[in-house]
Amino acid sequence: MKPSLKDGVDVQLQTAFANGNWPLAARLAESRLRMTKDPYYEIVQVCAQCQVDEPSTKFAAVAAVSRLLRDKHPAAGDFNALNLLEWASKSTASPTFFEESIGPLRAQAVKGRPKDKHAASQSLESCLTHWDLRSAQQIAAVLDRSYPDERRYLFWNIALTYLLSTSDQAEQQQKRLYGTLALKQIQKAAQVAEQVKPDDRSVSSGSYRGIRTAEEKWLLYQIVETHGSEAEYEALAYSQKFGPLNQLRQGDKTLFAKYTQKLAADGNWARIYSLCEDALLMKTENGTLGLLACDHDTLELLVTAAGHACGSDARKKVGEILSTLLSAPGLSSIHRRNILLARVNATFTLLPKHEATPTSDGSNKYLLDLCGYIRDQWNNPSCFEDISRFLDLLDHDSLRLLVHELLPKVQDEKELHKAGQWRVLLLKVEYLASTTRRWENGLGKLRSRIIDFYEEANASSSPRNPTVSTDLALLAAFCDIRLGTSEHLLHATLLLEHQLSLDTSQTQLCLMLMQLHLALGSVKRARELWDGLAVKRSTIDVLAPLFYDRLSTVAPKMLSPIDDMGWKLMDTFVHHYEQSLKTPMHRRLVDTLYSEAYSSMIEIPCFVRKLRWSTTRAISLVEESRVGRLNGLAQHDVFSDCRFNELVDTASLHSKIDYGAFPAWDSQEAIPIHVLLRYGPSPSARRVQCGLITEAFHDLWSDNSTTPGYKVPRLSTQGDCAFAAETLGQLSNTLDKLLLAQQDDLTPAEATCYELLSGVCLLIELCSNDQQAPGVIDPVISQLLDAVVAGLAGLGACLPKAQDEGIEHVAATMRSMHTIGMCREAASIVQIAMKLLNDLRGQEKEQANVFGGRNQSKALSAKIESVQQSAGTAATEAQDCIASLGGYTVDHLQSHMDAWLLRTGCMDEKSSYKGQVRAVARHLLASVGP
Amino acid sequence: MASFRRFRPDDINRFAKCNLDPLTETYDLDFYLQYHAKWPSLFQVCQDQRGNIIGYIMGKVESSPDAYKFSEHYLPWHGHITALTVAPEARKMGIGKMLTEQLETAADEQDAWFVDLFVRRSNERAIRFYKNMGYSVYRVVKDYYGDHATDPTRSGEDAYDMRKPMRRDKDHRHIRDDGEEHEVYPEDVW
Repeated sequence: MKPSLKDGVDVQLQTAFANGNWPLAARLAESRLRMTKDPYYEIVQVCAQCQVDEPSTKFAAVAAVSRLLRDKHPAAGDFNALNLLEWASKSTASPTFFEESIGPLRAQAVKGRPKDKHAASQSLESCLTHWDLRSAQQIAAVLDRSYPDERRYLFWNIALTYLLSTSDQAEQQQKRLYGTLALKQIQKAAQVAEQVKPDDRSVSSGSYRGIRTAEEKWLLYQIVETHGSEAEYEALAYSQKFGPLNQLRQGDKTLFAKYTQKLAADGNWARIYSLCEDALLMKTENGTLGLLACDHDTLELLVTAAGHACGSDARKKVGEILSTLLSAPGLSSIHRRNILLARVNATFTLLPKHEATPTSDGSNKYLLDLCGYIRDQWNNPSCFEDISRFLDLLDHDSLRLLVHELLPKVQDEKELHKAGQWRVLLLKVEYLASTTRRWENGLGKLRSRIIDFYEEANASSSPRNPTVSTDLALLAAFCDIRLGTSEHLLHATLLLEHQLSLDTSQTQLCLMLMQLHLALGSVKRARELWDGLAVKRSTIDVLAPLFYDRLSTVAPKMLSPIDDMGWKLMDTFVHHYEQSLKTPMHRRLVDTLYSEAYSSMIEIPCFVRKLRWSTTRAISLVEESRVGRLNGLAQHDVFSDCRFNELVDTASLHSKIDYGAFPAWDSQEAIPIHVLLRYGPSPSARRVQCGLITEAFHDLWSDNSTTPGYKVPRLSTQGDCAFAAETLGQLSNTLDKLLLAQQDDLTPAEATCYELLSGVCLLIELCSNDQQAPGVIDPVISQLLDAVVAGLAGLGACLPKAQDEGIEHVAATMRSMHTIGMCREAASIVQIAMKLLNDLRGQEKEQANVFGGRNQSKALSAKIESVQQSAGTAATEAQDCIASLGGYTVDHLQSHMDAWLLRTGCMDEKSSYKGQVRAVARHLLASVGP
Repeated sequence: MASFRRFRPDDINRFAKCNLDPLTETYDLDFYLQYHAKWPSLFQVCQDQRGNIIGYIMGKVESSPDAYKFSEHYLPWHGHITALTVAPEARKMGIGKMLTEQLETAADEQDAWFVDLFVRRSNERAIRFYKNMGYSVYRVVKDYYGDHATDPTRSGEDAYDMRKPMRRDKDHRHIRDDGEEHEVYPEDVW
């Protein structure tokens, strides 16, 4: 926001400045400077001048700041002048400009006027949003020194010193110093609090310099954990004032969780056990159990700690605690469930196998306790998710016994034969068993039983339970997806489409169906489903990859910004990052100062850093640029995009996809269903950086010829060529390093494409280098060209061949869209590179004719020509694959699909979802296009 | 299996179970961070054993601006429930109740007179839930919502402003028995 001029400036200048009449404002400021000699007007003049759109004045503010720093200019201590300069230099300053210049100037100005509280706070806010911790810490220290009676400045100072001690903005040596400083300061505040008498009224005053609030206690724990010794951290537990149990007694369990987490990391199990026991059995003032700590996490920790610390008595001790908890009056259902499951966990974790005492029917204590839990909680929608991890721990015989004998017994005992939810639970258990390596029964039979039950549950004569039907449809689809053939994927799609027509707002159905459509290449329908899910704003970063990742390789038209929907999709994506990362640090960090929320002050920067360096943010640029290029729009200016500059060389990008809303019904041994449906491995730093480099490569050689009336070849001058060569060298260097890492994070087509890119970059570099002797260089070039041809041939071999007709061909081709897309991409890279090689060799030839030089090998020229042809052929083959889908009509595809699914036994004539075949055929064809 | 704790920004990356439900609104990052930065103890989550967030409550403590001190609609220092959501598969287990109780405890600690919230008049389930928790209607805000949840032909819907007295309000000065009779307009609500 534009700052207003300081009080006392005349109305004429104020108005010109406020109205953005920059030439007038600059002239008026100059005349006021002459009249008053006030250096502030010089700054006003500079700031007004640099708003005029002229290259000569654009950087005036940046230059002025450097001058202030260098010359100790009188305006350097003027906060109003600094506000103006900060605003005026915003658009032209480098990313480090603030922390190198404005920030230090602000800190210096605050030191010069330490009693100007308002200006100091404003400067501190500015330093925080620009993430200049060094200056922020100095300002906070000045505030603390200047206002020792205002306790919040003390804690601002401590918190910011701590933040600096853990940031990259301080060098290693300084980090230690700042860490020690923060530790000493907070320990002093803790000591004041420990020594204060209970009736001392100063505690509630604003000048009290001891720790008082929960947030300050959190800060104490954080700093001692980071910079204190183990003994100092351990001592916190025994502190009357700050012990975690004491805090828990006061209703705050944050410190208890924080403390025990650290102890667990250190393996201090005896201490954890004792703390968990005390916390769980803690009583309220009226003598009843408090249950504040009766969370899954605490109970889990209790069981784990008992296993480490309590020897052979562990299970007994834990059992007693759990029994006491279970007997608490007024126990809520969620607490009861936590405790019951902890009991199962205790058996599985603490009971040695040899003590599990098999019973006459072959059962054992593990199974008995598990069945006990199921008997009690089967009606709970989360029952299966609760027990699934224990199912994974059972051996083959136990699993069989559970599925075939024990659970049916529970069914008989509780007369649950007709309870849909119970039957679904049994099928889920069986499904999980079938996804373990130790289960020999086929999925096919289970799938048939699930579908039979689905039809029964949906039959018009029985009242339909939407949850049961949805779970059955999803279970059957899971089986289909695991079976993996195209006909099974189509069948799963039909079934889920049918179910969605009955339950239109079921999120899990929508998610699974969207992934199925994406896997089948039916992107248009996937897009409709994605729209229905209304993923937006804050959840974009972790949910967008479910839909967008690699989408431009499959269906670039779907994201085309020319189409309203495509523009909206892309905009949602890009807008989130623009809004959330508008300033180097999120402005809400400033709120933490005034609310004195130190835990938030420490947590927000970590979150923002991960968001800035997220692979999804990189994907947003790769997809945006590739979509534009493949749709024939002007090449995106990759090199000027902050996403490219901030991410391409960042060592550790953060990658996270939130799969939480997908059903988690598979064994942990199996690849999760949502992973099976992806085009390839989840986003990784390496993959997105390869994508960024590919887009930069295209940007480097693009001539923007698609921009109407604007055709400027990028390499028109020698300077352009030098820039291109230099940039290419950097890109190639980064790419080579990335490709050296052997990881399974690329699809085979991507791996080949990026290898090809690396190869052609090297070729261009070699051909641009006129220092090399032809005898040495030509054989290398020739070999590289052979490798390029081999790479293209390899990609071509992966393209689907038109062996079948009808739906088999359509399904196979549409499932290969990503490979087809990458083949086109590789062909395009090679074509650009070969054209460049020809141009470079042409220039070289001209120079050789004029000045004399190396003779060019005709064989090499012919080879380049032939590689160019190979690239052309690969592009045509890929294009032909897509064109081969063009001759189908919905009727045609429908009858083929019907026949195919019936023939393969995936569906029968009576299937309730058979009516979806036409819709699915239409969806498939709607996505076919060049 | 569930654990209750304070919200952390990383929790946004585990919101899918709650926020993909059509009845739960997803806000800009700024909105979540604002609550986390200003009122961290009133932003609580419930997570399942896999770390997914299966419920959360966002609240704040505030009073009306001083300029309205003498207005009949002035709100003294109070807690406000901005959002409460529980993932569909985690409903009917008491998670919403526990989250609300935690917010009330935090509001009590901050010496609030009462905790209030707005709910659609048509949302009978939610109204029943809050009444069971001790909330009562304080006033009806006419056409507070720009649309109607159940009737697409109507262009707006009333809100119930519901309140529960906190420890500080010993005499129940800030609640009414006949709140449904008191109608105000959106411009009276700040």
